[in-house]
Amino acid sequence: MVRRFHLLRAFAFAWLMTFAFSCLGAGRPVVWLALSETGGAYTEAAEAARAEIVRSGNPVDVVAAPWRELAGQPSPRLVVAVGAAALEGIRQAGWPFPLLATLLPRAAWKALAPGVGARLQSAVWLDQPMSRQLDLLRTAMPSNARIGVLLGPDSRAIEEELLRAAADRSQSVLVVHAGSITQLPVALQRVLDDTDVLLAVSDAYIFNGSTIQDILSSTFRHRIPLAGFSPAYIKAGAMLALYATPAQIGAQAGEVARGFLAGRPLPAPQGPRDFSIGINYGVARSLGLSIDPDAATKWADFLRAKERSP
Amino acid sequence: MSATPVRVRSRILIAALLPAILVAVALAGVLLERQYRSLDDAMQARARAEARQLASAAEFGVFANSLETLNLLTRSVRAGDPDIVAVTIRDTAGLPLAASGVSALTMRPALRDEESVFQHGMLTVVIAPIRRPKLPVDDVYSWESRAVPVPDIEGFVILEMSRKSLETERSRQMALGAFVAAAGLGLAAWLAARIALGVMRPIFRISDVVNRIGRGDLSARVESDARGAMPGLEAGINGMAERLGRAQEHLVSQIEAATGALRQRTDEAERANMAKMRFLAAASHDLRQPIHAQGLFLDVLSRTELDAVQRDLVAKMAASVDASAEMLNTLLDFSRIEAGVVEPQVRPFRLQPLLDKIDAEFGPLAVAKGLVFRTREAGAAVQSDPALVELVTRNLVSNAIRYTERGGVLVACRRRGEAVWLEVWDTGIGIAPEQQQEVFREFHQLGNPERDRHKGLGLGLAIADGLTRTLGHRLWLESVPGRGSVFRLALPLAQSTFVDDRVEAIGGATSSIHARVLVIDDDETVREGMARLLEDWGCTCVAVETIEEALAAARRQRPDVVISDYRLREQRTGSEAIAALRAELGADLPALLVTGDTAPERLRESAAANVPLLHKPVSAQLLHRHLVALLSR
Repeated sequence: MVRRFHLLRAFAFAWLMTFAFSCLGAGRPVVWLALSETGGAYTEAAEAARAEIVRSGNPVDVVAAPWRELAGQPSPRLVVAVGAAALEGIRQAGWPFPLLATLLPRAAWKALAPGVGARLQSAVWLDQPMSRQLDLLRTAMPSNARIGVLLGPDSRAIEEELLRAAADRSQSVLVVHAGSITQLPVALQRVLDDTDVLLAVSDAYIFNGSTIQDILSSTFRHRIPLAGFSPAYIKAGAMLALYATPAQIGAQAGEVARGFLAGRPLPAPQGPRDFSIGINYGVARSLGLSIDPDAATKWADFLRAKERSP
Repeated sequence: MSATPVRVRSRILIAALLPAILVAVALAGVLLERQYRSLDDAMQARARAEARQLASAAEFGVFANSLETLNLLTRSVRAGDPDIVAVTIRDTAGLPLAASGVSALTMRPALRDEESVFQHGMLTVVIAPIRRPKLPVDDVYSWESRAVPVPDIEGFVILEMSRKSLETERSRQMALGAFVAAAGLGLAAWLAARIALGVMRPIFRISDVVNRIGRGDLSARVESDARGAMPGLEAGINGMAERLGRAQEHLVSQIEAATGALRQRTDEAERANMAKMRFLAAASHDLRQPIHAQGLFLDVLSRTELDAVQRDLVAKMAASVDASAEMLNTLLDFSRIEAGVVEPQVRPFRLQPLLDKIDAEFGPLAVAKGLVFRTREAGAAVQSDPALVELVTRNLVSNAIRYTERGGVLVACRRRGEAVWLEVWDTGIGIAPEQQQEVFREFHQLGNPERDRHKGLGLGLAIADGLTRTLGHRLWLESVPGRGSVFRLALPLAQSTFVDDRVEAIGGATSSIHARVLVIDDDETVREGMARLLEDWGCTCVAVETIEEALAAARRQRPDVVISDYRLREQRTGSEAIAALRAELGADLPALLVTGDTAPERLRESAAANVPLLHKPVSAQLLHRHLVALLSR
């Protein structure tokens, strides 16, 4: 499995480099797609971004490669950092180029964004807006369902957004803070005791590979569904998840890049415009919830329609 | 015989059983050890599985700090396995969260990240860490790599499992193993004993036969067994026994033949010797009677009034009688030595008186023969029998004078360490080396093939040699033919300071004896001669022929001394006569036996009766001396 992964990564890298050099031409603007690493979500996002940048014959040379290997290439008009690790590396290297970060959580951007030259840097992060999350829960759960949210050190900043969105929708939301992993069991207990659904947010201190099993176990014991923020949560046992796929976020970043190359300034950092919904029907059945087989599409369509309407 | 088979059988049993025992013990040990180890492994595996399962199940309880859940879990684990003594769940700091059962641990176990198993007394203890399960969630969405690493371990399960059941099982297995091994060994022993018996029986049989043959029973044969394990050996033993038997019979017959021949020779030799002895005894006895009487009469005659011519004739007659008597005495001495009745009376004495005596006796003889005769002064004293030494010396000197025609004879004494050599030198004809041993043989004479009786009987050196051997001394000679000889007698030096210088007087003048003498002799001539001589000495003599007459005479007048011939009429003896007289007159009656019989028995008999024995011919001087000695007691 590992061997196969390495083979795939090597193949992808070779393809990217061939493509990049074949496109190099005199006077054409260059965009670096600086990947945290090749393969998986990074390559998928980069591919979508590249497609968006060169759409309609836009004369741009796109060089996509792991960020370490890009030094020495013709200077780019824009660097697109794909992944938090790429952003961190570029920041430490002190590249003087305009920067667009993508495929990273908002907390990573907040922590790593360079403070100077703010006009020449922006981000398209993965965190879904709270309003969309609450809308999905209102659609998927009974209307009076109480929503519990655990906030940790990385997600404390969204509390305001969350509470405002809840107030706008007259939804009952219980926010409990857990300062560290040691406080997690008690905080989790409090949340689960008084709510009907647990909304997980991106906070590596609270929700990570080491805690997710216990958190899921706790929710099952309380017969409370967990709403996650990535496809992995669906696989781990969350009942549903709202997330942007790497391709969706990559395409959005590519669109921003194309605008920048066309002479527009970089927009303010933004969340994902598009999204996907994942449902674990097995978990839903275990919890005694009946969900239509095409609910994911229906709910997505519903949410999109709602967001388009004024 | 009985000890050998048992020993052999024991050895065979040991040889057969020892490897079997070793193999059985080793096998049983190895198998038991393996069995025990596998049981132990199984128990450890069970304990590990239980602990892991509990660690997995308890993970959420620890995370959620649900002590009730944890207690429930520990109780259920313990209830599920009777060997589990105690189960404890501790947090990472080692504080107990839940427990079931009473822990038998006397120490606080080390809590490590890895699962560990150890034995504590009769417990198998497993410490299993309670790990957080890790689920892969995309780093892309949560930037997890930035987060503070969450500790992997949440707590520990400590499970104590009793080894009692294992030990019980082990004991059971050991007992079973021991039983099986014992049964196997018993069977092996029985088989080995049977086989050993089968193998050994013919060997024992053969060994028995060999022993019997060894003890001389050559008729012993190995009975062949139809199942005999060694027919070749049996046949070989039988063949050997047969051949041995034949060889022995042959040997025995040869030995018997040889022994028969030898016995015949010995008998012949003994007969010849006896005949010689008898001849000697008879000859000397028969000669003695007349010579004895002759001597007595001559002595009486010499005391009568005679003219010069008569006196010369009487002297010559006396010399002839003396020569005859000397030869007879020599024969008598030899027969005494041959009979082994000579008992040396050893005492310290000086040699000088002896030399003086020899000088006085032989000096005139040598001078008469025209020889120089010398004795050298000797101050030494020796430890021996003086009479026997004198006899030896006389024989040597007499022999030297006899064989020396020119020159002289020297008798000398020389000290040699702890011995004194008495040497007799002569300048005679000498003795060739090959003759030097022969001269000591009886009747051997050098240069006298014609047996001139003037040269003696050839017994002198034989007597000297016999007496020397009787005394335990050494006599040897050195000689150069034509130049002369020296005979040396080695005498031990006297250790005592007291030396008896008495030397029996030989010869000498006769004094008057006034005593009543009873003479018993069957020979009338001798009776008359004795009566004349005794009366001439001043005695009152009664001469009788028989014991009865003697008793009658003694009753008439008690005699002062009795002189009896040994051989009397009617096969009676002088000893009987003396015994009868002593029975009548008292045991202290002095008596003297005179005999012409030189048989050694006479000497022993007279010694036993405490009666001096004189051999005929008795010289007048000798008789006189003995009478004086008896009467002076």
